[in-house]
Amino acid sequence: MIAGSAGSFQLVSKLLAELRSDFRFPIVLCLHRLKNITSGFDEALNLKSTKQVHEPFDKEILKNGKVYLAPSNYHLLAEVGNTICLSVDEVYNYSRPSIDLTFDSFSFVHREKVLGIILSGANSDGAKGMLKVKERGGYTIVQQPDEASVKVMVNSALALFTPDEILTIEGIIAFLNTL
Amino acid sequence: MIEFSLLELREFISISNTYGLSLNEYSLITLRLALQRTCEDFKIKNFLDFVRQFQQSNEVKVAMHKRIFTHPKDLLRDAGNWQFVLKRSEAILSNKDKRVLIIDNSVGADITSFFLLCKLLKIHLSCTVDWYSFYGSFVVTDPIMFSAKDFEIAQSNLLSNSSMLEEYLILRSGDYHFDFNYPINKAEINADIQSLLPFQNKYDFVLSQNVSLKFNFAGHERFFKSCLFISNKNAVLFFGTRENLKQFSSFWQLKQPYKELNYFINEKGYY
Repeated sequence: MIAGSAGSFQLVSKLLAELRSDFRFPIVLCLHRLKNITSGFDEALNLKSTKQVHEPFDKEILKNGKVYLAPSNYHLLAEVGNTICLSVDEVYNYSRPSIDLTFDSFSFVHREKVLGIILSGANSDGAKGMLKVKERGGYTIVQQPDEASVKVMVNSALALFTPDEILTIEGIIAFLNTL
Repeated sequence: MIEFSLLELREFISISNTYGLSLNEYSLITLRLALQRTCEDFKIKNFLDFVRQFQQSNEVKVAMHKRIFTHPKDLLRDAGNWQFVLKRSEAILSNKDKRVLIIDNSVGADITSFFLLCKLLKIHLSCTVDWYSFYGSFVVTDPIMFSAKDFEIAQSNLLSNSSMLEEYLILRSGDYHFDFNYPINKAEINADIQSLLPFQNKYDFVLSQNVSLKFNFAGHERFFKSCLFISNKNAVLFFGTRENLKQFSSFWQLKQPYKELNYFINEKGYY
């Protein structure tokens, strides 16, 4: 699971471009975005990505090797039974999609199988969700704050818990490509 | 937020049955979120405390009910889709022999959005509109009130999609009242998705965006089937933008007698 806000788009784009094309795990992207711009984001990410980025439908089955992008103005949650659940519940941390809710639900359902990565962003959404990932036995990576163009999100996470890794984007890509 | 185990969630479903809530086909993860947020609101510390308060406090019961069956009064959410649907449905909406059903899981955000946009788009509404609310046994009998903030959200939702708001809905300070009469029937229903079936009427336009998101896979499928049963031939069904029909093979079999139905599924042309 990869999350971010302001300053994360270029990072995610680079990561998807340099990710091994045979990367076998599902990737869930939860990025803050404007609520009324409903199209164009996945297309933009797909320009360089080695894997198809797709905004899932409600109750879509989570499949290996696919990249799922949280749709604009929906929370993206994991449902019991390996499906994706979309929600129009109220905003959380001023955000919909909310990174905290996404991380929390995926770690609740998939427990220690979750790898959470948090990147540059302008608010604290995601920090509590990452803590949940860690508490439930998942693996946590926070982007090196010096490298993050907007540091609030990564610093909020680091203030709350000690992640398994603090890496630059190059380091994150290298890590993922070893999996 | 409080942790709930799957066992506790299932236990709550079982307990809630005795209080007239049928949550067997409700999304577990959505239910969990509703429980967590209700507990936060009432500063409840754990599941047992929650169950106790749910059983003893009407306030907690009502709050939980609202969490489950309503979403925020987010007027004109998905404004682009509303515009698309209404424009495509003008012929239905201006025909007095036609019947429209709006299925809503809120206290009226969808029906208000519908009328608001009809007015903005200058669509002459002659058809009969029924409103079926998933608000459960807490029937809305009072006029639906929207705050200034609700209309500001509507403004922001629409503004990003269209410049027409500037023309038709300039909200002046202190002027947030939107005046329309509801030509609707407010039916008292239980929150059992199966109860959708025994409708007296058949409909030419069924609008149910974001409703099925709250339910699990079985409930989702049952909902779609129910919508088909209450639709006239040539009806327009609008399920919203991200609902997933592709996986329902039985849905497509059901579709066969309804070949001329139109499906407005999402903005990318899957209809």
